[in-house]
Amino acid sequence: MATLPMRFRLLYQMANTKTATVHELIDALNNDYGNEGQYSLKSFNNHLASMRAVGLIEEVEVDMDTQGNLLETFSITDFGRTRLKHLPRAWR
Amino acid sequence: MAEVQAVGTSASRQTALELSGKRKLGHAKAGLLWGAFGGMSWGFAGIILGIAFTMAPFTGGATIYTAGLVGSAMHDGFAGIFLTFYNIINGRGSEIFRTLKTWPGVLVCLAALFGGPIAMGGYLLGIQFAGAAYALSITACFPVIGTLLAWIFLKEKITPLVWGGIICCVAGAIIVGYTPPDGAAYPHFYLGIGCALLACFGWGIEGVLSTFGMDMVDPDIAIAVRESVSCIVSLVGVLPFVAGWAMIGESFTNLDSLWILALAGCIGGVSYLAWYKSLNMTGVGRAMALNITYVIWGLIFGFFMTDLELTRNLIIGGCVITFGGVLVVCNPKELLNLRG
Repeated sequence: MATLPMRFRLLYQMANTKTATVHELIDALNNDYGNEGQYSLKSFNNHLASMRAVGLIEEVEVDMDTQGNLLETFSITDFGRTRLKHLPRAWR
Repeated sequence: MAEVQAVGTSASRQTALELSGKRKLGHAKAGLLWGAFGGMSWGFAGIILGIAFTMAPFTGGATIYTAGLVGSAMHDGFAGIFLTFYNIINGRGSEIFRTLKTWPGVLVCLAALFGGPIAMGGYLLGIQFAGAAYALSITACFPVIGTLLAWIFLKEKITPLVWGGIICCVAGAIIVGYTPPDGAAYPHFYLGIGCALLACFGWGIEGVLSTFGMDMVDPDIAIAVRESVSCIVSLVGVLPFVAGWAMIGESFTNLDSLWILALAGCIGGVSYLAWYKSLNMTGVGRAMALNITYVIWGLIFGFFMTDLELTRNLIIGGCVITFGGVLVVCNPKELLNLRG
């Protein structure tokens, strides 16, 4: 299967997992994007913030990690699932 | 929408909730800043583009809109090249080809078609057939069309205050651009009005299509695709009909105007990048209202960089746009969830 644009791949990943934190998503996408410059915590956080603001995903839990950083847990929304119909055929 | 659960101790729960709220508000404010920066930089790019248009070969042309269409195509071309390199440097070069193979990428290409050749062609033909007074006033209404379409198709939440801000920004832009009808006979007047409306809808549709696409595609990639596609379609589908290729050939022998146009393209690319980011982060309505503030920035830069005279219309229009911009940005908390 051809690699998806990263934001679309994140949505796909969220649809195939009940909930996920940014660190879990970074681990999950390592094989596809790990050697690219865009594979960074900042980039993932930006994608997730935009996807949350437009309602594709929602924040279901917040916590502080051991380093004292905010740790958000997200899940895909029903609205986000409607966007999956635009996935390339091989990904459906 | 599910209620956010905080876990951990009572103290860490409270801190996590506060930080989460701050992060969301920070994202919304960043979107507004990108929108304001997009308007400001587009005003600056317009001044630079205007300087290029006073130089050969853009002072001539087979038709009166050849220079405008060629300049627009070359501007988008330089912007597309600049943005492609920007993405390659940031490690996102592969994303451009991945995006083109998906439906959201196709939508961004369609957005390029509507916002590039269709809207720009309609804008220039509108001025030609109906006169600047009517064409500029009609095309300045694109934020209203874009916001209505976003409200209908994207279910974007637009509060009465933001509607007020958008209307003020449009009204201000019309006041600034308005010139009394010159009394000339326009035998194709209604065709010109139709062309101006086409431009207005073209820019509105571009905003909605690209914003839909950017739900699944990075805005930085979307704008590189948009500018490149707009340039290619103009080169292949528009310029041959206005003897535009000849002018492009001439422009490459006039390095004085070429480098100024290239500079305008790079600044315009940065401006479009900011605009697309704000479309994604603040929604179509607010982003378009902030984008049209380029009119007032154009006045400010024009006053200091050219021999622009400040007339009563310019000052009143500028004040109305500023007031509208303030209404749009005054409550970023409304932006935490963009759609209903």
